[in-house]
Amino acid sequence: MDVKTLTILGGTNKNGQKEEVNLTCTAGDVICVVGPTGSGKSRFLSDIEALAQGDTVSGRCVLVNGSAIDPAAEGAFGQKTVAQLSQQMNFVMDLAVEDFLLLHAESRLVPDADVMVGTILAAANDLAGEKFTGKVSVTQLSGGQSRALMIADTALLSPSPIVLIDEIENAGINRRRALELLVKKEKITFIATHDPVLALMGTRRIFFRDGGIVGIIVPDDAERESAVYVQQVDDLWVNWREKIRNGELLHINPEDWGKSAFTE
Amino acid sequence: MRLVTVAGPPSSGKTSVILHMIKSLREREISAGVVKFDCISPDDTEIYKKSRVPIATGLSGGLCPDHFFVANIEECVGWGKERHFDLLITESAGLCCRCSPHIRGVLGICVIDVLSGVNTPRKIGPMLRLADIVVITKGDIVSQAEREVFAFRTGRSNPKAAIVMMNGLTGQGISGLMRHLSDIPDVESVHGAVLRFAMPAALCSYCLGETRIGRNYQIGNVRQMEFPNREDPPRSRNT
Repeated sequence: MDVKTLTILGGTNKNGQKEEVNLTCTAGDVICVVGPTGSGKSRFLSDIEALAQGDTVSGRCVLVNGSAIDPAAEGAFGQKTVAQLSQQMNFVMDLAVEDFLLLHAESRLVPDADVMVGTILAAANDLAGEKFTGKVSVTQLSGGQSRALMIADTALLSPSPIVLIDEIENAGINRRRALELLVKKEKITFIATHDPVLALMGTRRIFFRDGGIVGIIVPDDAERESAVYVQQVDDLWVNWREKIRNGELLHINPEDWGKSAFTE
Repeated sequence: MRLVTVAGPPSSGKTSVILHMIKSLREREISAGVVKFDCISPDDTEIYKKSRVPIATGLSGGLCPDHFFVANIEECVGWGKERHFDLLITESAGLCCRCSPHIRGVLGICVIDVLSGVNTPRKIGPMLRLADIVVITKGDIVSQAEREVFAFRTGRSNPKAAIVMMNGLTGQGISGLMRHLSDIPDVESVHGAVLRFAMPAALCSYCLGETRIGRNYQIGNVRQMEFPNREDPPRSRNT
């Protein structure tokens, strides 16, 4: 199904107050969803997944290309409009990575399945910290590797034009690359996150309180510049983590600190 | 009154799905009752009672649960009409893969879970193949790829069914299911209605309580297995 726009019409928040929202997203948009835990981020993602028609708890409506979707148009073979990726998802099939991807490609009726498997494997290895081959079982992958495989597979092989991501920060993968991969495919991506690096990557950011959207932020130039510093701090952090993981002593010179971090 | 038959393997989430259905129906001021068919223990009855759902329980005990269902469904409809339900839902548990309670002209739902493995949609017979709606549960804890493969294989086993993904714990996906329930056929009575698939045959000494093993004890409709590379061809025996 071709999704050019996705429109979210507000419902009501936990206190029954009206949510004044009319948000239209277009292909290639990355919408970051932020707010304290329990503020309604997951419920919002769930509304999009269900393509709500005022029939969920929030009362929101989600329109595809300007109109309510016909459930019959969802496709007899379960061709879903929305793909979802969350921290609690795991691989449960006991298959080698290659066989697993072949099985998925087969269910998507991909003509050159072998080529596709190679592409996904390469993309997943690009995202993961530690490399892996197609021969290893999916259930034996590390947390970061399986997250990387899931992201690469969703970006390249899931036809769903809308992707929902619920928390990917703890996975030890290259988050910027992950996002580039997902966005490149002209999908509409929603990311619920507490991670500043991810939250600043979006084309727009919506924030939640008491179960409702309370604001939509479009990053300005000053924030985009600030995002560079946030990325640098994150790089530093990753660097420290690597040192500790590799069995080194961590020595930060207080004189350098503050200079090297931002001036180079 | 409208009637819906719900079937699926054990622990696939039938009761959870039905409870979410009833919650949504209540919001629309539609009353519903449940008949729960089970083999051994009526544990789930308590769950329904806690949710204040009118419930009747049928324990098949030593009888084939599928045959027990069909022998009682007419009376179930009678009970539902006496109680003036808008909708009666039957939940059949303990069925074998060869079983199917679905009736022509009555909405049939099959509930299966993704954790049961990708070959499950093919292994489950008519209760899935002849259902109108297949609800797939537990998708929230597996990868997108596995959900898609599972849904694809379900579609292959039953190309006509609507496939709905649902989380039985949170109820996520219930709005998708409810959209498929908007025009359930009205059923005055199921007297004379026809099953979508014949029930498994059973008419042998074991049906009557025989417990001993051996050809000498087998009377009636029994059949011997075939084994590879055996000279003596096995025969069906109808004594």
